[in-house]
Amino acid sequence: MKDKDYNLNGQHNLPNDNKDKNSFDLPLNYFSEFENNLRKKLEVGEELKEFSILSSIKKNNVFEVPSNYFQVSEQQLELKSELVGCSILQNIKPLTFPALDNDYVKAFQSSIHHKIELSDELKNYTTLYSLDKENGFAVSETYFETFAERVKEKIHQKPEQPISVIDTILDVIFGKKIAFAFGLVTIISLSFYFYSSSEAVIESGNCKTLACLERQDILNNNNTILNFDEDQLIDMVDMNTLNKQVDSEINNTKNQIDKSLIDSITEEDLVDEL
Amino acid sequence: MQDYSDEEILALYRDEASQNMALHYLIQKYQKKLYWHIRKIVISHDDTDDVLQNTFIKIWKGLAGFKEESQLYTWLYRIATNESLTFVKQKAKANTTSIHPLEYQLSKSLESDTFFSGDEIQLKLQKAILTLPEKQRIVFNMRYYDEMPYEKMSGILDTSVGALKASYHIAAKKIEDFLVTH
Repeated sequence: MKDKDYNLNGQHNLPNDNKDKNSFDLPLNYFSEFENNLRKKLEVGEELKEFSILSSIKKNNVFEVPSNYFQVSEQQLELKSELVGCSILQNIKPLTFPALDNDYVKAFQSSIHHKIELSDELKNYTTLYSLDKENGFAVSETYFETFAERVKEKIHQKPEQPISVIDTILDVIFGKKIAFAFGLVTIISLSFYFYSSSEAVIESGNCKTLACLERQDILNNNNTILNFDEDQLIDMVDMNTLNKQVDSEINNTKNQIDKSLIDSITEEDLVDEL
Repeated sequence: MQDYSDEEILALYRDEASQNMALHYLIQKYQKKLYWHIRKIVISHDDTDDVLQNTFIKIWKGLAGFKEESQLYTWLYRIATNESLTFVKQKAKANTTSIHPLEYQLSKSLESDTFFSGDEIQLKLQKAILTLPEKQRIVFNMRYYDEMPYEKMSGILDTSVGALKASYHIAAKKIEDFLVTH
């Protein structure tokens, strides 16, 4: 309960006639200290009177101190006092970490939200949710150290020509050696062919048909004749000449037979006949 | 090793004198991410090595035509995904000697794979993932393991966010059922 006779500083209030109207308070010992403070200021002012320029400059404190310095320094003093018994710890300079990026906090917040979202998604699947997200797959320690070099080698490698089965077969067939051998065989075969075949017309006197040809001539040209069909062969034959020849052959043959028969008859046979 | 941004790498690439350097930094920056992305699709380390090399060769050849309509990492992941899917399809086609589908064989091979260090439950989880269709498997791996936002996935897989969410939830349900029944 407030005592109306005393102010907040415990001093007796002013005379009753002003008590209720005065609501101002004074610092403790204000009036007793007032004279001393005034005297100090006057002394300082007197000292500076001979320095006119100095006394004209306003007394402003131009030095700044970091905000919360005095609070922090108080805390640091408190910490230091705790480490009084630990000389080594006291001598270790605390690390000063670089300031965080401005985007870090935002990214961190979104990361946390994302993790929560992932977790909530799996909550309906109790077995899956209970599993630790471990990567069961392994890879050798040096794999990634050498991977870049291997890829660069492959990239800078000359591209291989695609080999097809048809190309392989054609290479075998039309390879140099095979081609050379094939050419040689072809040349030899053609030589034989042209040597053995003749395009000159076989003539026997004035007759140009098969009937006039000697047997040997026909046999020599059997390649040509083999290509003839029956009708062509028949057309080639001069029937009149052929008949004459056959008749003459028959007569000749008959004469020869008769002659041989006569020759074979002995004197004894003749005598027997007589 | 200094981590170059995508823009810096592209700038290095545009300068003919520094193209090799651009390739080096590109590989250094993305080899691990793309490796694990591919590995979860093709499973085997040797197959992953082949696909990853082919991916980077394709990236290098196509980088001149990269129009920067999308982010570089989106484009890289897209190539890696397509190469992996192509590889899996080719392997499935070539798998004519066995009566079992490719996924079954991959699942069996995990048990004896020296490059698989997971415990029993992790092995079971991988087998469950292998029962999924390819695209669902990719969506699940990217969301579950890589923790990729749907918006990023949409750019890579050229699928709407809604479809991806649905795909992920169906995949998670199937895996859950597999784990419960096995």
